[in-house]
Amino acid sequence: MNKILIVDDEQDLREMINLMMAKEGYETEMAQDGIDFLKKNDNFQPDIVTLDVMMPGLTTKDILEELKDKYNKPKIILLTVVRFSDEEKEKLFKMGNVVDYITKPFDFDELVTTIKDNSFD
Amino acid sequence: MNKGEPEIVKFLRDEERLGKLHSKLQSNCKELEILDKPLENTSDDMINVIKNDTGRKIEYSELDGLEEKYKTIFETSAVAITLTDENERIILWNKYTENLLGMNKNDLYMKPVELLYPPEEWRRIRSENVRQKGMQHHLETKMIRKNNELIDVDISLSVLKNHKGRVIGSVGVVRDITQRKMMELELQIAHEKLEQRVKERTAEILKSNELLKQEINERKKAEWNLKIKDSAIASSINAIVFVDPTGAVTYVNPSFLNMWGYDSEEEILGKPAVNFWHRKGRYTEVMNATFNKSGWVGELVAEKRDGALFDAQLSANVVKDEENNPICMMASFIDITARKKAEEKLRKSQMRIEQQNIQLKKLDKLKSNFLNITSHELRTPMCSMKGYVQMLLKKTLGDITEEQKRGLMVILRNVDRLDNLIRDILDISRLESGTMKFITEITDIHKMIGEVAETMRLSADLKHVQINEEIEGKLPKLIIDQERIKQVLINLVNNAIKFSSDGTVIVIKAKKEEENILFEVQDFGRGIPRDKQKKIFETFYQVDYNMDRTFGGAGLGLAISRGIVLAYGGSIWVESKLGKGSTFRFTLPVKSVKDVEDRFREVDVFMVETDSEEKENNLRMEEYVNN
Repeated sequence: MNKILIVDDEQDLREMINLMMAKEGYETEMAQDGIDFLKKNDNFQPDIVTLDVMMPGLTTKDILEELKDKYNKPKIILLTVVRFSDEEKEKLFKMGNVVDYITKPFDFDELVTTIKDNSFD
Repeated sequence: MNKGEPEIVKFLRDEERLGKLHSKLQSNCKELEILDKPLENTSDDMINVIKNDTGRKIEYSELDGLEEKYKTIFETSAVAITLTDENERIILWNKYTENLLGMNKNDLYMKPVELLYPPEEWRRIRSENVRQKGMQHHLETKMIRKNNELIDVDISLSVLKNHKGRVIGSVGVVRDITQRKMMELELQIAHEKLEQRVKERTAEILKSNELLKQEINERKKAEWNLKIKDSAIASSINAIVFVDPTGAVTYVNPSFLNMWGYDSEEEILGKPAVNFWHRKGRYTEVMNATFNKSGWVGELVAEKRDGALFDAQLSANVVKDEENNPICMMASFIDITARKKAEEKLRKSQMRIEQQNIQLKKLDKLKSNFLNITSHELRTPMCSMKGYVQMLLKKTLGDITEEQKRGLMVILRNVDRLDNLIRDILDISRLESGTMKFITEITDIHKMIGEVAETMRLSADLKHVQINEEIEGKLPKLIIDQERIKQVLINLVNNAIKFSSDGTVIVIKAKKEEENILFEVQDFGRGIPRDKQKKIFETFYQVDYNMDRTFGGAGLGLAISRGIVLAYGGSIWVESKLGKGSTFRFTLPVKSVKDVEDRFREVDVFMVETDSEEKENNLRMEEYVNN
C-alpha cells in the first residue's frame, strides 16, 4: 500500500485530501507545516507527499533543501495557486523529488489521478 | 598747221586766247615766235615751244619783260611744274621737276606722264577721272624717280580746255611732300606710340585702381569685421574679460560690469583679476591652466563689488599673437545662480520622486502581496468546499438521495461560479496592475481549439447548442501562453453559448491572414446593439444588466480577453446584427512576441505601470527557487 503525507496549513483542506486518499485506499498521514512535515517524514516515511507551497514557517525552498539530506525521499506533488512556466518547472523539478504540481482549486478527479499516476502499482 | 600738232600748241596759238593773254598782260606783249625744235633747256619756256612748233613769229614788244619774269618764276619755282598734252605726254617742265624726279630732257619730253607714277597710283588717278571732272584738282600720290625711288607728292592739276571745251592738256604743280609724309608717318608712329603708352598707362591706372578698390573693400570688410567683433563682444550677454599675463584686467564688457555690480570699467581696468573671485586659490589654478594648457572650462564663485557671491560658469582661453606668444587670457562668464537653484530644486524633486518611487514600489509590492494572499485565501476554501461536494456526489462518503444530489449540484455550480469570479477579479487586477504573468509555450492551434471546444461541450449541450470547428489546414505554431489564449476563446465561446438560441450552432474558426492568425467565434444568437459593441470590452460592462443576471457573469470576461490580446500585439473586435448573431474576432501575430509582459505594460488600457522586477510576488515559486 502506498503511503501519502498531506502537508497543508489549512486544516479543512488537509483533512479533505486525507479523507479522499484514504477512501482511495492509501495509508495517510497529515502535517500542518514544514517542521511537522520533516518530523513526520522521518517517522512515517511516505512514498508521496502533497506539499502546499504557501505555509507559515519554513518556505518550500527550505523544506526541499532540508529534504535533500534525509534518508527518506518521497515524491513531492506541489499544491499552488500560481502557474509555473516551463523554466520554473525545470528548476523546481531539479531541486528534489518534485514530480508534479496541481493548481488550486483543483477537481477531485484531477488530484486523485495525479497522485495515482505517481504511485507504485 | 602741222599734222599731229598737239592741241595744246594750237591752244596756245589761239588768237583769242592770246588776245586774252594780251589783255591780261595789259596788251604789252609782242607776238610769240614758236620754235619747231626741241628745247635746249627748260629755261626756254613754252613760248619757244610754240615758236618751234608753229614757226609763227610772235612780237615780244611789251611782253618781253613779262615773259622773262614768268620764265624766272617758272624756272626758279620750288615746285615742279609740268605740262602735258591732250594725250598725256609731257611737253613742258621746269628745272625743279628734273631735280625732283632725277630725270633730264630725254627722260621727260613727250613721254607719257603715266610712266612717272607707280601703276596702282596711276589707276587711282585715272579712276578719279580728273579730266572730265573739271578744271582744278588736287591730290596726293606717289611718283617714281629715275632711280626707282618712290616719293610722296602733292599735285595740283589744272585741266586746259580749248574754246570748244575739249581737253587739250593739263598743268600739274607737284610738290615733294616726302619729307612731310615722313614726318607725318613719324608723327603718326609717335602718336600711335603715345596712344599705346596712354592705353597702357590707362590700363595700369585702371588695374591699380581696381587693386586699390579691392584693398579698400578688404580694409572696409576687415574694419567692419573688427567692428562687428568689437560690438559682439561689447554686446554679449556673457560677461567677457581680458586679462594680461601678469594677471591684470585689460578689458571688460558691459555685461561684466553689470554682473559684478560696477558702474564703469575704470574701476576694474588694471586691477588684478583675482580680486573678482571668492576663492583666490582656485583662480590661480584657472590662470595656470589657461596659459599653460590653452583653456579651462568650469565653475567658480564670483565676488561682486558689494561682496555678494554668485555662481559663474567660466570658459577661459589664451589669445596668442602671430608668433604664438600669449597676449592675454579671454574669459567668458555666465551667471548660473538661477541654474544652480534650478538644479538644486531638480535634485530635491528627484529625491522626492525617488522616495515616492520607493513608496510606490512598496505599495505595489503590498498590492501584489494582497492579490496573492487574496488569491490564496479566497481560493483555498473553494478547494475544500469543492472537494467535499465532489466526494459526496461521487458517493465516496456513502449514498445520497436525489434531493441531496440536487442540492449538492447547486452548491457545486455556485462554488464554480464564485471561483470563476474570484479568478476573473484577480486577472483583471493583475492586468490593471501589469502583474499578469504570461507563460509562453509552443502551441498547436488545432489542438488548442479542440481543447476549448471540449471544455465547453458540456455547457453547450445543456443549451442544445452545437460547437463546430473550421480551422485552416496548415497553420503555423504560435509561441504564446496557451492557457491565456484558451481563456480568451473560452470567454468568447461562453458568451456565445449564453446568447445563442436553442438548437443553433457556434463556429470557432482560425486562419492565417498575412502575418496574423485570425480567430473567430460566431454565434447565431440575439446579437449586440451597434452602440454597445465597443462598450462590451470595458470592465464590468454588461449589455443588459437584468438579462446578464439571468445568465451569470460579472462582465469581466471581454475586458480580460481584450487585455490579453492587446498584450500579444493583436486586436479584438465584434461584428454583430441584432437578431442575427455576433462574430467576435481577434488576431495574434504569427511572429512571437517575446517581451509580451513588457509589451503588455505599454498597452494603454489599464493605465497602471509597475516595475517589472516587482511585478511578481514574493510567494511565487520563483523565489523559492532563486534565493
